[in-house]
Formats: sequence, C-alpha cells, structure tokens
Amino acid sequence: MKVNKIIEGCLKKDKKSWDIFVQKYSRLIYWAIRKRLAVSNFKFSQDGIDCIFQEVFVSILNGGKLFQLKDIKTIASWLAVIASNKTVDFMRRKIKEDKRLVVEMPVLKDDKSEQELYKRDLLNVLGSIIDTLPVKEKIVISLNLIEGRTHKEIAEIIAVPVNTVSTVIARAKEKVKKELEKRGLKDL
Amino acid sequence: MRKIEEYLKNYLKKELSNIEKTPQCLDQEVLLDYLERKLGGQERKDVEEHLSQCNFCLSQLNLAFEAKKSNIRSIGGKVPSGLVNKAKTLLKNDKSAIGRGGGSRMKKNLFLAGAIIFFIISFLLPKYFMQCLVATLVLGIGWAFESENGRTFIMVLDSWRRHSHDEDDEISNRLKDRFKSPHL
Repeated sequence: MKVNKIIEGCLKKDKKSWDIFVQKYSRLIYWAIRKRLAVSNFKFSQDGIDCIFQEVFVSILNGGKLFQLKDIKTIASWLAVIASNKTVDFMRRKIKEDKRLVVEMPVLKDDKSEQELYKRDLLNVLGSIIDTLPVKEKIVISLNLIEGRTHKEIAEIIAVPVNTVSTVIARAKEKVKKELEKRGLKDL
Repeated sequence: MRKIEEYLKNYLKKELSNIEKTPQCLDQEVLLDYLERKLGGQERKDVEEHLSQCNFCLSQLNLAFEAKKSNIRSIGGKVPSGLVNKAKTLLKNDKSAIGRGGGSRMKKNLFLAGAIIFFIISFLLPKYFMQCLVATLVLGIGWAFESENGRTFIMVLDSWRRHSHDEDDEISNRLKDRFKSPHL
C-alpha cells in the first residue's frame, strides 16, 4: 500500500491502514526515542521507552497529528521529531517527579597536561574561537564534532558545498591548534 | 589533530550539555522546512542563527536528517512485538465508536423506509388509509429526530417561534407605554 493511501486510511480511522502504519513506522519511532534518550542525561528504563512509544502513537491517532503532515515525502523526519519531542516531554514529567533521574555529566579525563591547560583557561581559548565563528561555521563544527556527521552530510543539511565544509572544519582546528601552541601545549 | 578534535568536542559538549527545549526553540514545521530547503533567505538565516546557539534544535535537525536518509525497515533495533501489537489496538477502541455511529445511520434509514412503505400502503389499502397515514407520520417524526438535518430544522423552528413571541411582547409593551404617555 502506498504511503499516501495509508495516511488517508488512518485519517479515516481505517483499522487496516492503521495496522500497516504502525508496522511500517514502529522501528523508526522506537529508534528516535532511544536516540533522544541516549543523548540526554536521563536514567531511563524499558518501561519508560514503552510508555513513550505508546504516547507517540496515541498522539498521532487521537491528537490529530496526521492532519498536520504537510508533505508525505518528509514523513520519516516528521515522525522522528514527534517521537523526540514526546521523549523530551516524558523526561520533563519524570524529572519533576524525581530529580534523581538526572545523570551527572562525566568529568574530563584526568590528564596532567590537560589539567594545566585547563587552569590556563582552555575553555576560554576554545570559547573565544568558537564564539567568534560565523553562524554557519559554528553549525558545521557542531554537526561534525557533536553529531558526528560527515562533510558530505553537513553540506546536504545546511546547503553549502562540501569543499566549504571541509575548509571550515580544517580552519577551525588549525586556529585552535595555533592558539593552544601559543599557550605552550605541544604534541597536538 | 585528534587531540584538537577532542578538546573541541569536549568544549562543545560541555557548553551545550543541557540539551533542553526552550520556548525559543524552533517549531517542528520550521525545522523540517529548513531541512527540505523550503524557507526563504531571511527565514533561513534566522533558523541558522538559532541553530548555532541551541544544541537541542541542532540535535533535532540531526535526528530528522538521519531519519530521512535511513531505511525505515532496518533503522535501529527490533521493536518488541508486544509494543507494536499494543499500538495497533489503539484504533480498535476508536472503531467501536464508529460502530455506534453506523448503527444510528441504520436506524435512521429504517425509519425513513418504514414511513415510505406505510405511505404507499395507505393508497393500496384504502380500508386502512388513516392508520397507515398515522404510521407514516409517526415514522416520519422518528426519522426527523434521528436525522441531524431534522434536528436542526426543529431547532430553527423553535428559535423562530420564540423570536416571534419576543417580538409580539415587545410590540405590546410599546403600545402599552404609548397609551400611558402624558402627551396624549
């Protein structure tokens, strides 16, 4: 069954269409929930995941979410973001009930040279470089280093040439290296 | 250069470690429109300005992109079958409501069919003309009450009747006031 027919069927509350929809997109929604939980500092259980999973489908079926889908081609992204938002709402509710569910962020490696540099305002050095970057370059660095996206993927996301992405990343690293070398840190 | 990457990563993660959604965060539709390149020049710039400062929205964008590029049949791990079946049964509960709606439609059609049949019979059997007409009338009223249009019609009539009573009252009050007036 084609996706638009499935969606039409779901909007008309057709059981068969709904079953196909759930079967087709379960894996994606489950993945999105786990991904959002993985990057958060939140202690979660399988019950929590199950609960969020059901809430996502409830909001799609009964919350009128399907009416908000503008473009069938973007359904995968759309569902992933809904699942992510539901996960965030769930986390907020649970944290309100029990603040112990928030996990402490890990501390930096205990390396002598890093500690020294830390004392010499490592974060300020990095901050001064990152904060002065133009908007798009900051996004490029973040997508590459935090989200782990390749140069080609970043180029696709923010609609810039791949060469530009590579240049931006190389330039930022070079800048950081020079600044840190100025402050006496070697073997970079 | 690996160490540089480490430092940068740690800095970015530390600075943006609280991946919290704020009221300023981008609306889902805007985020998806950005990804699909449906936004105009200034809108794009505004979104990018926000993305450069908000790790939550950046991670949402990343998630949306990954979902778009992945094969939905093989993305992530297997979902427990119990979960999937439970989600499927969500519509079963709704279906019962639809069933009730279907029953009401059938009742309405029965009333209408009955009224038409008795009307025809009243001409075929002159001996029972009055009885059939009464039956037609009763079934017709039943149909009207069952049907939404009938209910609306009754409401309109009722409103007109009440409105006309109000008008009558107003006219009679005006007349009374006129006769009581000292000018006369």
